[in-house]
Amino acid sequence: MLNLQHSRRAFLRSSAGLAGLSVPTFFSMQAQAATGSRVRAKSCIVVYTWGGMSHLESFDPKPHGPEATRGEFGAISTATPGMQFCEHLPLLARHSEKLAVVRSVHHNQGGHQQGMYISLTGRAPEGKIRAKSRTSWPSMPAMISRFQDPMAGTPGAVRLPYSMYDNGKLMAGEYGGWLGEKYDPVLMRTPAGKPFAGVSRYTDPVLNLKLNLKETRMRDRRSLLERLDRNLNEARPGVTALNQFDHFQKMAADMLLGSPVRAAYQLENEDPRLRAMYGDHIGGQSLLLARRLVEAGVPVVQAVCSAGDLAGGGGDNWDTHRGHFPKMKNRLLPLFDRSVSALLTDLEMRGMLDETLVVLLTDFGRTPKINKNGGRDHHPAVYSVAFAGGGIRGGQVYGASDESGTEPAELACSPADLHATVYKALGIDHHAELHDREGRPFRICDGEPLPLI
Amino acid sequence: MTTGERLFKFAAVMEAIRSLGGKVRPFGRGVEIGFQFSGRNLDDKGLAKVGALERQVILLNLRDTQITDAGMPHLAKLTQLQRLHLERTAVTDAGLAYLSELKELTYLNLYGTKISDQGLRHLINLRKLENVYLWETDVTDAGCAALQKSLPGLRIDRGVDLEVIAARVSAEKKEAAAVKRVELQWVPAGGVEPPNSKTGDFTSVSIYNQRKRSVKLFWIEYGGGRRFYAEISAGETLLRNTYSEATWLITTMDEVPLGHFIATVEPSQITIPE
Repeated sequence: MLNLQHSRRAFLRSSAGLAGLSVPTFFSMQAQAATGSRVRAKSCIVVYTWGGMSHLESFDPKPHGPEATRGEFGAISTATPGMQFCEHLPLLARHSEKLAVVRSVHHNQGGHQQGMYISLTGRAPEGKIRAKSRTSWPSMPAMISRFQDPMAGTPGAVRLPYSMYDNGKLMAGEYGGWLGEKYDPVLMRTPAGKPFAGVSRYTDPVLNLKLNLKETRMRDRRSLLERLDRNLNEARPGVTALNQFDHFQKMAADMLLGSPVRAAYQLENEDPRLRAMYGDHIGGQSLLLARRLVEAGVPVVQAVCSAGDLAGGGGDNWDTHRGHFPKMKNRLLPLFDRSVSALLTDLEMRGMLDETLVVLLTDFGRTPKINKNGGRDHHPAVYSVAFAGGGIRGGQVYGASDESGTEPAELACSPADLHATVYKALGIDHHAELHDREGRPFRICDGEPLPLI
Repeated sequence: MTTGERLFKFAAVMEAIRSLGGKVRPFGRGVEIGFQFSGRNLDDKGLAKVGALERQVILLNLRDTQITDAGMPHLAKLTQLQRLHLERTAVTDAGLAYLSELKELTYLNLYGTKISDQGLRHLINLRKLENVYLWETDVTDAGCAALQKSLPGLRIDRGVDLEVIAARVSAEKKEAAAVKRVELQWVPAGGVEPPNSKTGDFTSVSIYNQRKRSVKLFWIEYGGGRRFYAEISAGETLLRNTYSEATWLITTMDEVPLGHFIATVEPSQITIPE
């Protein structure tokens, strides 16, 4: 006879099938959820303009600012009355009703490494920081992935299309830090588009899902892994998936053995006209891939919209110490404008925007003062970021800089506050406590959410 | 049924949904269920399990699943449903008839289906509907206008017209191809030494290798050193960003100088002669 009592208990303990939740836990969560039941963001796309995007030539133009700092560009009206963008963002201006622009972010880290670190982790660097150090603070994508539960063959977080470097040095801040290597976002090579001019490096293990394996061979895990080893890391022979990247290797094999992620990687399956909307460039194609990865179940994707290595400001990155205006006008802003606008259009028409949070981040802003090389230098004292989707109320500006764009004039906020905002949109308690691998407790974020949701 | 039995039944249904690849989360006073990632094999039979939850289901995502009109009667029981994703499924106009009593619906996603104006008629009494997604369906302007008239507050999203985008992109390509490039002066090796680069404005140069062999491209640094940038194969044209006043040296593959040129502010072109 079936022992009903026993099987019921077994059910309560083991099954319930709610992403590993037991039935009692499920009901207690449900009781809490009943008080607040807004649709929350399920995934997040972080667009990172590496090098430091000028706030003055993007989301905080100063057409009536002092002559010495005003710059060469004008401002244009957006779809939102009273909100103006730089004149070289005409496509994004039409999306202003989706965008919440924050014009009062500031920190005190003037170097690229430090500025990127505080922007992506929400924490000022402590002591000497090193890429992939397990004492570093986790990046925003890594931290988000810690609270998600993707299915097998789906990475918790993906980075596209390059790692960030400065003059050949791999930067710290975009990894899993003390969460452990399991939470290092997986670097994927975007398989299409003209590369950014300048220097970009692949010295990290980078996943290229275009292995052109025949289906019959694909079923053999061992031969797959050997093949993967050869493809995984072209730049560092000797470091193989088999001996080094246990977690990564298993996940990669799952992906290759047929998951929605592998299908998402095949950009050639996308309508060529839609691909053209994103632009024939790796920056645009990376955002297209980001959308496809999110559709396939990847909770968070970070796309660097820049050449990978700042290389002294040469090439297509945002570190515009020299020739700022022609470079912004001819190279950087058109690409950014086109690809981010395409992403917003695409997410919207697929009905994905309210569940996908888009975050536009950068190291810092640029100095109002124009230097002798026609450039603008690093300026962390005030700069702009923007959010869209994921429950963010668009068509609003939070905070303001002063008349020349030198310091915050209203509602100054910090990178940590931006992080708290992201966590809130994703339904993650921004004061949640996690333990590092030595068991030390950390509160995941020191900031407070901005009232954008 | 006792509470225990209800719990048991609930747990059994949840287990069934999970085994079909569905992901369940609490939402409000009910649940949110998604099959769009690992549950893409869900078919009409599997959908019956969701139907069994009746008023419990608040959000349901069936994107990319195998369901058809035959499974739609199961959805008619989900009377508390607020958001429904049916995009990229085989559901047609006939299937939408089963949604006409889902009065709590605020969000309905139908893009990439064979829905036409006929199907939209089943939605006219869904007074709470706020957003409907109809990109890449067979609906017409007239059908959408009729729906809008019944539900004035409804936002109907029909997406972009890809033909318009394709036309715009091809126009831009033509325009880009028409960029006037000034011809730079080729200075053969052996005469004037290539001068050090100076700083200038951001611009570009198109370099055509007319030789039968590959060449190497070096930038002459501000201090006079050579920095390798690229190889250019025989017959290849390389488009390079440069600053004006930059000196570029061309050598053989053995790095024997062939000649140099200096970029101008205007976009420029240069031919490496045979």
